Amino acid sequence: MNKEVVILIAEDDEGHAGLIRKNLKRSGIVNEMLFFKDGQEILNFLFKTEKERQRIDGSSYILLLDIRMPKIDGVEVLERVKADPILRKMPVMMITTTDDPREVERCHELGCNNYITKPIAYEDFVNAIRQLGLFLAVVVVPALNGEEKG
Amino acid sequence: MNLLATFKRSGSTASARKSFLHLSLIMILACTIVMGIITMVLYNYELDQRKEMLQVTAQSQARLLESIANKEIEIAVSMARGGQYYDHAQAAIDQIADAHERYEGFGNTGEFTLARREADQIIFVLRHRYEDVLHPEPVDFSSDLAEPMRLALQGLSGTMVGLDYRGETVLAAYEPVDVLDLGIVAKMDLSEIRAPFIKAVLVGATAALFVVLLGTRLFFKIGNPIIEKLEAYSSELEREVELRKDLNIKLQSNNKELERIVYVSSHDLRSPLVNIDGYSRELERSIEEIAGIVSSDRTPEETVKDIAYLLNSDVYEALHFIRTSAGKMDVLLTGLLKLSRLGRSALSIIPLDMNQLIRKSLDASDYQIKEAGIAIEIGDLPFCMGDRVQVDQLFSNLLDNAINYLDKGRPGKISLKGRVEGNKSIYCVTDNGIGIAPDHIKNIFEIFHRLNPSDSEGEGLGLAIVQQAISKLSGKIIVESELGVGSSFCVILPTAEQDDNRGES
Repeated sequence: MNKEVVILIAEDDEGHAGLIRKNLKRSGIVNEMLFFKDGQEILNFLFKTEKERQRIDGSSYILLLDIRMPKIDGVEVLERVKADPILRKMPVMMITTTDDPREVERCHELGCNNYITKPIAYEDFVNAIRQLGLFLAVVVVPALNGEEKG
Repeated sequence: MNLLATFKRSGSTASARKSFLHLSLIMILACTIVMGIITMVLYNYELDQRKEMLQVTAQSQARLLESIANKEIEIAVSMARGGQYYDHAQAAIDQIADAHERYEGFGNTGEFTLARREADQIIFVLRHRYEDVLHPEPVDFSSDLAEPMRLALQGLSGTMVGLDYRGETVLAAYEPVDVLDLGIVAKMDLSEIRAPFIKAVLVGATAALFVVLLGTRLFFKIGNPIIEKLEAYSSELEREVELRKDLNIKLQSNNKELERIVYVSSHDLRSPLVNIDGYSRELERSIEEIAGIVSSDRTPEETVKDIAYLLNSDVYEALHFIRTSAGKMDVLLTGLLKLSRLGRSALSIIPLDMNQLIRKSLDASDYQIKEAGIAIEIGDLPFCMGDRVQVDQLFSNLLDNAINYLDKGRPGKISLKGRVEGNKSIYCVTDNGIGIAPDHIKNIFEIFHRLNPSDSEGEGLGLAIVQQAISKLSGKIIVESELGVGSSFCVILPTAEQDDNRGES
C-alpha cells in the first residue's frame, strides 16, 4: 500500500485501538495512523469542522470504524461519509464486536468496503487484522478531492 | 305525536334515527302507491260496470220509446182515417214523461234525458232532475254542453265521459230513438262514481300514515333501549380494542427496548473480553520476549535494562488493560442488574406529593450542591399518579445529571418547575450546563451510552433508567438542549387530585 495513505481509526476503546495498532504494525503496515475516540471526532476531522486536526485535500485515507461509539455511532458516521460526494470514495472498514447479520447487512447497504468482527479468540483477531493488512497492501486508495493514487 | 322529541333524545344516535325516519316515510309512500293502484283498478272496474248499466238502460229505454211510438203511430193512422189529427210523437213523449214523473232517476245524480233537434238547438223534452221547469233550457248544437245528447241526435250509440247540459262531467250512454227522431241519454255524475273511491283513498292514506307513524314510534320505544345498549357495547368494544392496541404498541416497544438492551449489553460486555483476551496474548508475547532476552548472550546489565523496559511498557500496558477491562465488566454487569431490578419491581401507583418527594431527593445531594455553589430553584409541584420508587429514581437521576453536567466555566443554575395541563402533570428539570448537541440527543437514553466517557465518571445508565421508569409509568419525556447553553428535561405524568390526597405521605 502506498505509504502516504493515512489510516484513520475511530475506536472509543483504548485497548482495542492499541491491539489494532500493534497488530497492523506486526503485519507490516507502517502507514501513519490517526486515532479518534468517538463518532463526532472522526466527523469533525473528515468534514473539517475542527481546527486542530483536519483532513488534507488531495491526501488518501482509509477509515477503520467501530460501530458503538459515544455521541455518534459508526453506522451514522458511515452513512454521512457515503452521502458526501468527496468522502464516499474513501474505503471504510467496519471493525466491531457484533456480528449481528442485520447490522452487517445495513453497513453493506450503506456502502462499507469490509466488515470485520472483533473476535474474542485472539488468533482470529490477529488473523482478521492481518487480512486487513493484506487488503490494505493491495488496495488502490483514491486521494480525496484530487487525482487517484495507487 | 312527539316523534321528533323521540328522535332528538340522543345526539349520538341521530343518524340512526334519521334513517328510521326515512324508512317510515318510504313505508308510507309505498302504502299509498299500493292503495292508489288498487283503488284505480277498482275504480276502472266500477266505471266499466256503470257504463254497461247505463248503456243497457239507455238502449232498453230507446227500444221502449220506439215501440210506444209505433203503437201511437197506429193510433194516429186509425184516427186519421176518422179525420182526426193525432200527434203521435207528442203522445209517445207524454207517456214517457208521465212515467218519468214518478221516476226519481237512479242513484243521487243518475237520470235520463230525452231531446230532439230543432234547427241548431237541442230541445229537451223531459222533466229532469236539475230543472224546475218542464224542460231544461235548450242548448246550442254547436256548444260544448250536452255532448252525449249531441252524439245521440247524430244517430250514434255508445258510452262516454263528457259534459252534460249543466256543464257537469258525467258518465253517459247515448242512444238514438229512431222512430221519433229523439236522442236518449242515460247519465250519472262522474263525481258520484268517484266519491267513494276518493273517500277510500283518503281514509286509507290517513290510516296508513297513522299506522306507520305509530309503528315507527313503537319501534323506537322498543328499539331505543336496544340501540342504546348496542351502542354502549360497541363503544366499550372500541375502547377495549383501543386499549389492546395501546398495549400492543407498548409491548412492541418494550420488546424492542429489551432487544436493544440485550444487543447493546452483549456488545458492551464483549468489548472488555476482547481486551482481556487480546492483552493476555500480548502478555504471553512479552513473556516469550523476556525468555528470549534471558536466554540470549547479553550482559546482565543489558538483560536487566531490556527486561525492565518490556515490563514498564508492554507488560504494564497489557496488565492495565486487563484490569480496567475486568473493572468495566463489573460496572456493566452491576448496571444491568440494577436496571433489571428496577424493571422487575412491582408498581404501586398512588398519588404522589412531589414537593415532599423532591425535597427528600435533594437532601441526599445537599452537600454536593452546597460545595459546588449551585443555585437550585424548586417551584410548587403538582401531585402526580406514579410509583414512589420509580418516580424518585427518575427525578434523582435527572437532578444528578443536571448537577454532574454543569459547565465548570459558570455558576450552576438548576430549576425544577411543575404545572398541570389537562390531566397531565408536567415537571421540567432545567440547567445551564454543558448542553447536548442536536446530533447526540437521540442516543442519550441508550443503555451504557455516554457522550463524554473520558470527562466524567458514570456507568451510562442514568437516562436508560429514566427511560425505563417513564415507560413503566406510561409517561413521556421531552428533551430540549443547546450545546453550551443548557438542557431541559420535561417529564409528563398522569396528574392526581391533589386536594383529596394532601394527607398522603
